[in-house]
Amino acid sequence: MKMKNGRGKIPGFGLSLGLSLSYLSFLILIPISALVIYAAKISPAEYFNIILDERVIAAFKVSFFSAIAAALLNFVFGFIIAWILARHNFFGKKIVDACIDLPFAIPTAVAGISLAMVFSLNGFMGKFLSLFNISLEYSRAGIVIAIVFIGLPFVVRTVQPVIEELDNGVEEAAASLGANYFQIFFKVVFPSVLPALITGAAMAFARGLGEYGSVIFISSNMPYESEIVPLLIIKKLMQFDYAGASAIGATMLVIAFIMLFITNFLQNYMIKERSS
Amino acid sequence: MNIEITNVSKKFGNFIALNDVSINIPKGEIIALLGPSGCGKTTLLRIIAGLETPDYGAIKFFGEDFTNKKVKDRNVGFVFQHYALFRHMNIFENIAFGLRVRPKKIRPDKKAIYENVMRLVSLVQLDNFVNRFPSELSGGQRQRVALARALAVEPTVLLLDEPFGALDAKVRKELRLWLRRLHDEIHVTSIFVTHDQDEALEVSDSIVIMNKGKIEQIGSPEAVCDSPVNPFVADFLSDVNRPLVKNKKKKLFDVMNDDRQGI
Repeated sequence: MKMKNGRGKIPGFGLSLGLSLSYLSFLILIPISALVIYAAKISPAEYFNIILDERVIAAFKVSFFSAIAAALLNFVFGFIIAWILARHNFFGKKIVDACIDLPFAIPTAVAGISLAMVFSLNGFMGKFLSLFNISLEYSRAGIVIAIVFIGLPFVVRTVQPVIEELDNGVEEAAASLGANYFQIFFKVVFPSVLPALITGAAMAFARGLGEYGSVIFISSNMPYESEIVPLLIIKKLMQFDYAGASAIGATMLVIAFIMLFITNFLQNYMIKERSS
Repeated sequence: MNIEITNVSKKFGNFIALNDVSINIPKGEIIALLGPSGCGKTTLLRIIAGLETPDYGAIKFFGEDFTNKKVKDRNVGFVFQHYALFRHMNIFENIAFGLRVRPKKIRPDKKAIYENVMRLVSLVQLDNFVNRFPSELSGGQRQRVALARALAVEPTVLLLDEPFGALDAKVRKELRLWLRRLHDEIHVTSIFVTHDQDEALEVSDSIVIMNKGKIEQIGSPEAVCDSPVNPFVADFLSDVNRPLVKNKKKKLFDVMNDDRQGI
């Protein structure tokens, strides 16, 4: 933070700022503004007509609630996984640690196909679940599973370093003051990790909202039932309905922006509470 | 009525941290565990606290066997070198923590907690800081908060692990005299670990000098300085600031005056 004025020991603030801005412009700002400009060509009435279409709203609901459910699941299980990776040594830990990054590395379509195979009625998990009359394949639960898979590394990789950096002395201090394990966890450890956990879950949510590749293989993609927004955009594009596609795209953009804004606000709020 | 440590040994792998250590600590005294790094002094303190378990030997608190008692049931106050304050709680909540986590039956009510915390806050002279967060305090202030937090549970023994180790020289000097004065006020049995000879001489009623997991000498500051029992003790104390020992009482008086000017 001392280098805020560009007066650090290493020169080149102007050059690196220029590079950063042009890089961001080419990669993010220009394509996004193109989308916004395209969407702006439609009249407001038309826009609301497209957005308030029942099928579009249903798709938004599916995408939104699936992403939320997946983020909540990852919030809980991602934390537990990050915890054992940061705190415990066990046989095969290195392999587990490497596996966490797999969803980052493999093409989402591959993830989708393999998930669909495992959870299909003939698949290994599908057979097992069908004993209880549960069918994940082609249902909303299937969508959630695909998004959980994609979002897990976001939570684990955000939270793990924070847990590793926790001062062990703080837990010992709490214990010496008479706190039991439950109290040490919920009053001392968890609040310290919560900001990172929220960031991770929000990233997983944002990623899940836009996830396409893995979801379409496991979902039945039924309009009104299990059709996600990105798929709807693709369908509109295939019917050369560029206006419809860009209107939905722009709406997604606004939602993503609001989400990031809320997360940042929450984070700042928690950090401020800590230091004001 | 005292804390008895009998024949305690502890190994970490092949490293012998403590080798058959026995001490008897009288109630109400302030004892320094002094020695070079790696001599086992911190391990001994952590064993007394219950943060480590000894391989052999026993710990008795006032006649009762505490060897296998969990740290949370020992009612000790532990002060860490790096403060170990709860970052997400303000000073009030930090100090109140030990009272708030008590089981419902013995937990004081809100008003009692408030009064207790405010009394401790003024004892450590941080009256105006109750709503601040640890990150907003200086090192010396943080360590005083840690001390108040440890005292809040009315510990039978106060354990301090290099409490001034992370502070700069000036604050360290001020704070150790302040600790001595505080102890004269509240008389809680205290054991503190240090590798600083001057600190041990200045603050404690008696000094336990340790080396390589063994106790070399136990005695009052005057005794260990005037008649070291072996070459190690003599060498270890060779460059101490002797006037500190002799002028202890006078120094204390000075501190109380200095204190008015605000430490």
